[in-house]
Amino acid sequence: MTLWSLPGSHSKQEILIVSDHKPRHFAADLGRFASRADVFLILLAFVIVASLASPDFLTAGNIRNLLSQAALLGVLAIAQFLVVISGGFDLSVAAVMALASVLLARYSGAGLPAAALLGLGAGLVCGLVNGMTVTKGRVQPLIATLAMMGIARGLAFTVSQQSILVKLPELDQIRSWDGFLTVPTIIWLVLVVAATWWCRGTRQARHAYAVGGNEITARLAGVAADRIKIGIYTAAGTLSGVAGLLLVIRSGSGVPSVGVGWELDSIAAIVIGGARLFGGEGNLLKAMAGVLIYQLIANIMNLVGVDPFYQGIVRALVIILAVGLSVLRKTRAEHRQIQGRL
Amino acid sequence: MSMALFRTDSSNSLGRYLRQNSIVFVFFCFVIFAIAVSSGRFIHPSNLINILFQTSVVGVLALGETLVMLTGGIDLSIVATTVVTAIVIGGAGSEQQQQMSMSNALPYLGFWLSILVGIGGSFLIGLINGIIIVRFRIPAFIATLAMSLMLAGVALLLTGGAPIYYPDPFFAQFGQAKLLHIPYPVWTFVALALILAFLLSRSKIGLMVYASGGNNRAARLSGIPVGSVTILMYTLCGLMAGIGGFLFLARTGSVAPDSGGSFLLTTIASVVVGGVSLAGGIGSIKNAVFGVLLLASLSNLLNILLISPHIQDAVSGVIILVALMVNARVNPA
Amino acid sequence: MTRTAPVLLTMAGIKKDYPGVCALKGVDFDLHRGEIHCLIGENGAGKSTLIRVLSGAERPNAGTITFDGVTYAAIDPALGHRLGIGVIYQESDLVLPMTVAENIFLGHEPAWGGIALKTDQMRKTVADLMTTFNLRFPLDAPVRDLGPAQRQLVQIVKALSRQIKLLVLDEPTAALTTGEIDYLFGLLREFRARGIGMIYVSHRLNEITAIADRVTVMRDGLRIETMPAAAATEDNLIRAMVGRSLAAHKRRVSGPVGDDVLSVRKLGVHGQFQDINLDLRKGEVLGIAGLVGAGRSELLECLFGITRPDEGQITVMGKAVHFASPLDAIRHGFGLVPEERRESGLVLGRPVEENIAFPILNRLTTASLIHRRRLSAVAAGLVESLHIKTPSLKQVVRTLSGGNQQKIVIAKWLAANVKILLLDEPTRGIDVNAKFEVYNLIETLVDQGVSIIMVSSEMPELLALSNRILVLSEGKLIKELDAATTDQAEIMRYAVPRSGPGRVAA
Repeated sequence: MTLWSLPGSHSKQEILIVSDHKPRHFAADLGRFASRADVFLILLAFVIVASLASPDFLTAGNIRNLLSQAALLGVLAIAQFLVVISGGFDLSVAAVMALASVLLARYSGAGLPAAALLGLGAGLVCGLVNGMTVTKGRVQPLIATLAMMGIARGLAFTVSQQSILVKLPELDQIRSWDGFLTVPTIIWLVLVVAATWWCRGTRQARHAYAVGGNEITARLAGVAADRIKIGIYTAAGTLSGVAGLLLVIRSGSGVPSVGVGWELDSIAAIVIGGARLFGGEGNLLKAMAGVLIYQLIANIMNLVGVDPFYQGIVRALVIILAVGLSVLRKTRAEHRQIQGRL
Repeated sequence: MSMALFRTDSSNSLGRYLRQNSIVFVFFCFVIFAIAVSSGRFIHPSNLINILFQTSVVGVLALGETLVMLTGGIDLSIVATTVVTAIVIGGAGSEQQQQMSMSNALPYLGFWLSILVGIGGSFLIGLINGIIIVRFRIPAFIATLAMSLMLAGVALLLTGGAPIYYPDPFFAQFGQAKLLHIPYPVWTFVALALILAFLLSRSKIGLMVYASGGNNRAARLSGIPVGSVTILMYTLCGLMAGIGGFLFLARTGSVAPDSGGSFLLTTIASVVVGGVSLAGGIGSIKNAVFGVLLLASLSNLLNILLISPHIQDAVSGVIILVALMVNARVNPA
Repeated sequence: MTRTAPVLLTMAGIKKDYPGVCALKGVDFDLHRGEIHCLIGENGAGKSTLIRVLSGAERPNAGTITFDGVTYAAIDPALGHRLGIGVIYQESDLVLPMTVAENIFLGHEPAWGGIALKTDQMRKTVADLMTTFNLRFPLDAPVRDLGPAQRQLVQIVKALSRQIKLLVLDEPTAALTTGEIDYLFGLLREFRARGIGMIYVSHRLNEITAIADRVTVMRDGLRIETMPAAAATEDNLIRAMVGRSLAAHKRRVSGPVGDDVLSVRKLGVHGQFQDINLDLRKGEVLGIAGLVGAGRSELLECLFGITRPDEGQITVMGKAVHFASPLDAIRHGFGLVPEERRESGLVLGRPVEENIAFPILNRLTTASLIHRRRLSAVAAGLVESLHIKTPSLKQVVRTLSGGNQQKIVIAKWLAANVKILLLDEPTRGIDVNAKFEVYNLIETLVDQGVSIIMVSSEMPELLALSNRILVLSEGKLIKELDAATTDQAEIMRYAVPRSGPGRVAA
């Protein structure tokens, strides 16, 4: 990279460019505040509320359990996060998770590593198909992944109509491992670390953000948008497969009917964490904080003894609020940019 | 030559006719294929009636979805609306259900009032969707997705999580009653299809819908009240969802808060595969009807061949993907 | 340095078609190393299209591009970058949520093994760039937070962050102040000294005369003339830009005009135009001239109720009006033939008769049902009287030629009995015969008492048809001219922007 050195300087004045913030209206500012720097504060607030609400909250057992539950949604949320920042959606994550779990369970006779690979492989293939459909097939991500959701779910039930109990000594060992964090939690945390590194430190991640932020500009700059998208969807599928593995570890069986609606939960969680639904913006750690908040809400309601029937409403309201605030943050210029994406 | 026939901007009117009505040809080809593969069982009258019966709910929903898609939008809350309407009608209208109910959220309204509230509610939901999308400029899929989530919560709240098993006996009767060997629900679907087809092709509103969906800006600059037309379509879609709830109860006899799982995909897929463009402005009721018939026939054939229903879902999904890809090539948005 | 310098770029016979429009009709262009070659032309001349072909944003339909001795049939963005072609586009070409630094390196981030970003190296490079160019930016702020001038400067740095041999600048000074323009020109001269070839597209003649080594004038998709700096005086440039070989339409005989139908006082929309005053009388044609960006189309859009004015007043037939939407304007007797008929004027997928009937649907409906036969009759009448060539009334508009499509747009307003018709480039992209038919139509309308405001980039047409001509430049009304006594050169003189650094010592 040659440096341009100007002998002497042509313009005697130094051009000082100071960022001038354009005035925004109140709702947008509020939305920005709510999701930008302060997801962690909100998380902290919820933790405080939870510990006040119930003495059982801050027990090691509850925390362990909470994190373990969050791990499942957390891995799905990582997958969704990757897809969303590149400007797409993946509605098939939960169904692929179910498929991976039943495949693993069904063929567990081959030993845990082989069966796990099978599950992950299935997830990879589903993700790859999604990626190809969206790029080469030119189908909109929403519909394409909706169809894949149906396919994956159908295949899951084809493999088995019922849950399949997995009888593997290795699995029992893992399940009964007694560390402070459960195995699923550890796997989730490892993935979070890896994904965070990827988002911050790789060129491909930059390109993914660029494709989500302004695909035309990205292509003009030489970004291989199609390849990036295919890669991301494939990764999302594989991560859904990992979620399937975690499911088996947590519950001891592969469940074809699990997770209906969890894809929406994954979207809501990352939106709470500040990811922009139309792509180009998002911080993985905040998204994970969003997952924890989401899980905490459910946990608090359980501890307090909220009628489970109201939990659904609360869940829906949280989603609407999160999505609504996220949408309100749009400026008109971004609004026009979106029209083509849906 | 054949591909040139299918080009969107083909000045060949035969090509355009073929392209827009290709679903009809595909359907008839499929019927022939199905008859052959099933050794004639497919074409048996009772089987055909069975297919029609299965299509009545999805069909009505597909009609509503078509209206919305023609304006360039989408309604993801249509199935949730159906479920909530069915819950209200089934739960609030039946004394027996009231006694069995675990939740106090649903009061007894009596048969007629519960229908009024249910269908009126679905109408209102559609209206709200339309207003949010047009006046607040929230993208259709987000607005309707959020609405569907909220309705899922409402469904839980109203039922207390338990299914409704004892709706008024009227519904079972409606579901079983036949006119000329064809069940009432099917007639409902047919009637609605005819009404909406008439609306789209003959009325001023229909013309405005096609204009708005075809080119929103040009329509607006030509004096067409695009916003109002769009809101109206979402409202009608909500109404269709409500009627769908009525038919659902008639067809199935019970409803649970998590009913209607794969309906959304089937509905949207039927409409899109049938030839209605997601971008708006292209398509007709005929497309939707044949799309519904095709997918229902496919599912029926797989049943006859004793292929498990779950493989059916997977196969349908694959076919839908393929159809969508073909659609994307032939009708670029 | 320019004459003897080796040739860096040769574009030969470049043709580019879009549906309905032939943007480039076989253009030749060449550039030497260390040369600043300016490209000018009226709206629609093809400058931006040529640039886009060079940068790889578009593929040409014919022609070749020879760069550094190697010939290519087409370039894609990645190849362009590899060859060392840098482009600063007119439109904002930045990813808004990303930071300045991220935008600068987009597509060519240095990375270990192509994967792991060398963040330290990037940080240092950006800091160096900033120092070198004497710029100070908050590097970690998203570009979204910057104003237009700053964004333009970021785009400039972005283009310069790669090794480039050729730099294309498309209207780079649009958002810059005088000081920033001086700064930019200083950079350009430095690059020239280093042997980088530059293509500079602009409307601003005083900038061009200040910086160019050679100037190429384009018109109607063709290269008209290339002249060396010495010959590129304002007069010569204007003459080359406007000269027409097309026989001008005979000047129409202006009939009597009536009272004011439309009065506009101090009309303004922020960022588009300001302080516009005009009067339109019954049966009159008011022409509006100016270059792209002058605010002409925006003015029409405001009059038609598409945008709301920030200041000023519109009076129609003596009554003050505030249009909340085009529907309001239509109810007051307005009609608009937009600049882009395919995007804003027609629903391409619908039949001829429907497109004609859009504004008058209420008249053709009873109890919400459309009288198809009445609709067809109305449409048929107009198709006949306007000589619209279509196989049938039910034919989808997309399949008709540009000229016939335009006639349908006009027919629509005839059906609606407009009193005030706003035309935005009414004969753009249509064949010669249809053009004359449109002119005749305008005359007929005027004879019937319709008042017309016509925006056009074709000055012969303005001169032939208008009673008066308003010249707009950069959002301001510069001059009102009597069409009978003015000429193209005078109009252009008023239309050309005056802002900029003025003559800067080379």
